[in-house]
Amino acid sequence: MTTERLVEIDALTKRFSLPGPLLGRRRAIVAVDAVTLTIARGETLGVVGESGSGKTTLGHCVLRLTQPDAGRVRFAGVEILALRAEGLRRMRRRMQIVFQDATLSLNPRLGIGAAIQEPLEVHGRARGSSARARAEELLAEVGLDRTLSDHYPHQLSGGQRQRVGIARALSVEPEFLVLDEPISNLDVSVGAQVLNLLADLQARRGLTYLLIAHDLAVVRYLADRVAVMYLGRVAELAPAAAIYQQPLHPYTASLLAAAPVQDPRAARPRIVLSGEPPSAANPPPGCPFHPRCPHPKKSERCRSERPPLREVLSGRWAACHYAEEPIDAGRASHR
Amino acid sequence: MKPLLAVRDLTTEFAMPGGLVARAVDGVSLDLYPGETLALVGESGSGKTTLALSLLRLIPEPPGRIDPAGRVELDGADILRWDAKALRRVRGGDLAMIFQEPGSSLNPVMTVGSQITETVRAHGQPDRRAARRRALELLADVGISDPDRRLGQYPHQLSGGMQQRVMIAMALAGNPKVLIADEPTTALDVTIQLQILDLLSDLQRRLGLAVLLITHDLGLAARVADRVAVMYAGRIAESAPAARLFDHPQHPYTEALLHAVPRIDRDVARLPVVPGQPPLATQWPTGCRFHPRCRHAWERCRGAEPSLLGTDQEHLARCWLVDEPARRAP
Repeated sequence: MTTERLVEIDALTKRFSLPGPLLGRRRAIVAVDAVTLTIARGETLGVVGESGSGKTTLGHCVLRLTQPDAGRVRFAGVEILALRAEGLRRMRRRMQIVFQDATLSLNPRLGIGAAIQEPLEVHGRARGSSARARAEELLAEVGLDRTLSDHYPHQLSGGQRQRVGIARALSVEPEFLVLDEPISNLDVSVGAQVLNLLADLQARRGLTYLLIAHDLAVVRYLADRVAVMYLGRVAELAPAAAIYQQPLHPYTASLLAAAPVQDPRAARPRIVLSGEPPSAANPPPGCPFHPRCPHPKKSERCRSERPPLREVLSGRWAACHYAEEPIDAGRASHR
Repeated sequence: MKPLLAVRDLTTEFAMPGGLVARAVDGVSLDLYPGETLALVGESGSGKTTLALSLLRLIPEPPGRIDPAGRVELDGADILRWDAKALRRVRGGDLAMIFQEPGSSLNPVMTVGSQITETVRAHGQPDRRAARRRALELLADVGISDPDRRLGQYPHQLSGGMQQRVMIAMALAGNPKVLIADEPTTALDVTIQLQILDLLSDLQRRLGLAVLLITHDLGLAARVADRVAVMYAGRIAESAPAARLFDHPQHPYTEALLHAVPRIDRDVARLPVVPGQPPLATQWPTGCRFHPRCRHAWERCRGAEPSLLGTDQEHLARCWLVDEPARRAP
C-alpha cells in the first residue's frame, strides 16, 4: 500500500431539517458533524455505527450524492464539492457506490447485461457490441454466468443481484468504491461469497474502499482501519487490529461487548448499555455518549465539555476525556 | 421430562403458480422442554419461519396446507386437530409469538394502552380497570419506564427497541407457556439487541417460559440457546446441545455456516464458503438435499437421503458421515 491520500474528508458537515411539532419550528438534525478522515490509496476504511450515527450520510456526502453543508472532500487532490456538473460527472467515473439493496438500484425492466452497459455508455467508455462484450467480461469477473446477461433483476437471487450491483459499479473502472452495507441483506453463506469477492477485486484492481457497516465482524474482515461513529461524530479511529483488541472509547468497547460471538462459552458481557441512542435532533451537551457511558471515570466534565477527537496513542484516535484509563466493558476485548 | 411442545412429522406446503408445490417444511420433528431455549437456525428459504407459523396455524390455507399426518402437541393435545375457537384461545394464550418487525405488528392508529388492554381482556380479564392495571404491570415487567405515559402513546412515538418491548408485553398478557420469537432482534441495533435478549432471558427465568428462537444468526443462538436445531431445505439438518453443536458440528452444512461468518473475536484470513445457493422449495435435490454443495458428498449421498443419525439421542445429524466417518474429507 502506498501512502498516497486518495480521499481526504475535512470537517464535513451535513444537516437535515425535520418538520417540528404542528405550527412549531422545524428542527435541525446534524447527521454528520465536522468529520475529518483520510483514506490512503488501496486501503479499506471501515465506518461502523448504529442507525442514526450518520455513517451512510457520510458515504453519500463523499460522493456528493448528498450535498454537504460545510467542509471539504478531496479526491486525488480534486475538490469534489467545488466541481460543476460536467467536472463532477467526470470524477464520478472514478468513484462509485455499491448499495445495500441492489434491487432498488437496478431498473426492473432492464436486463442485467444492459444494466451493466449503461454506465459504460453514459461515461463514453464503450458502445454497442464492445459494451456488450465488456458487460459479459464483468459478469464473469464477479462470478456470474455470462448467460445471465439476458435475465431481469427479479429472476436473480439476492446474492446474484448484489454481484450485478458490483459489476455495474466496476464497469467504469473506478479507483474508489463506497460499499454501503454490502452484505446486510444477504444470507450467511451468500454474504461470505460476496465478502471474498470484494477482497479479491480489491487485490486484483488495487481498489480503495470506504466500507459502511453496522456489523463489526464484517468490518474486521475487510478493513485496514476503522472509524466508529456516534451521533454524527467519529468516536474512535484506529487500525483494525488495535481497535478490536483494545478499544479506547467506551462506546467502541460497548459495541464490541454487545456483538454476539459464535461461542456458547464466551463470557456474557458484564456491561449492557442502558437506554437508547439520543436523537440527533436533540443531542446531549458535553460528550454525546455520556448519558449511556459505562466508563468508571465518567465525571461532571463529560456532561459539560465535548471531548475532541485526539491522538491518544500513535495512530489511534478517540474522542473521550478518559481514553487513557481502562474501560472494563466486560468482554470488550477480543483477541 | 416430558416435552411441553412436541412436533411430529410436520409438513407444510404451498401451491405455487404453474401447478408447482413448495414443500417449505418437510417432515420436521422437534421437542421443546419447559424452561429451555431452543434456537432454530437457518438461512432464508430453509423453512424456519414457515415452521413457526405452522405451530400457531397461522398459515393461510389455501395456498398453504399443513399435512394432517403431522402433529403439534402442546401438553399432549394436538393443535392441528383444534377448531377455530380453541385455536384463538391458544394463540396469545399458552402459545405466544413475537415477530421481527414490531412496527408492522402493532396497530398504528391505536394507542399502546388500548392494544395491550385489548389483549389482556381477550385473555380472561374483561374488567376494563383491572385490564389497565395489568397492562401497566406488563409494561413495567418488560422494562418500560414511565408506563403510565407510554400507555397513551402511539407506536410511531416509540423506538424500535421500545416497540419490541411492547410486543413482548402483549405476548405475556395471556400468561404463555411457550414463546415463539421469530428474529426478534434482527431489525434492532446491536446495543438494543443485547437489551432485548437480556429481557427475554430474564423473563424466561422468572416465568419459566419455554422459548423457541428462530434466527439466522449463529452468534445469537450461541448466546442464548440451550439447544440448537439447524434447518436446511425444509428439514432439520442437525440438532444438539448448544456447546456440542458449536464445538463438534457433525453436519457439513452446520460446519460451513459456522465458518462462513466473519468473526469479531479473531482475524480470519479468508472465509471458507459453501459454493452455490440454497435450493428452492419447489425442487429440493434428490438424495441428501445438501449434497450438491457438499465437499464430502459421494455416491451414497446422491442416491439416498439419510435420516437423523447419531451416536446418542442428544446430538443428531442428517448426514451419512455419521455412519461412515472415514469418508470425511480433510
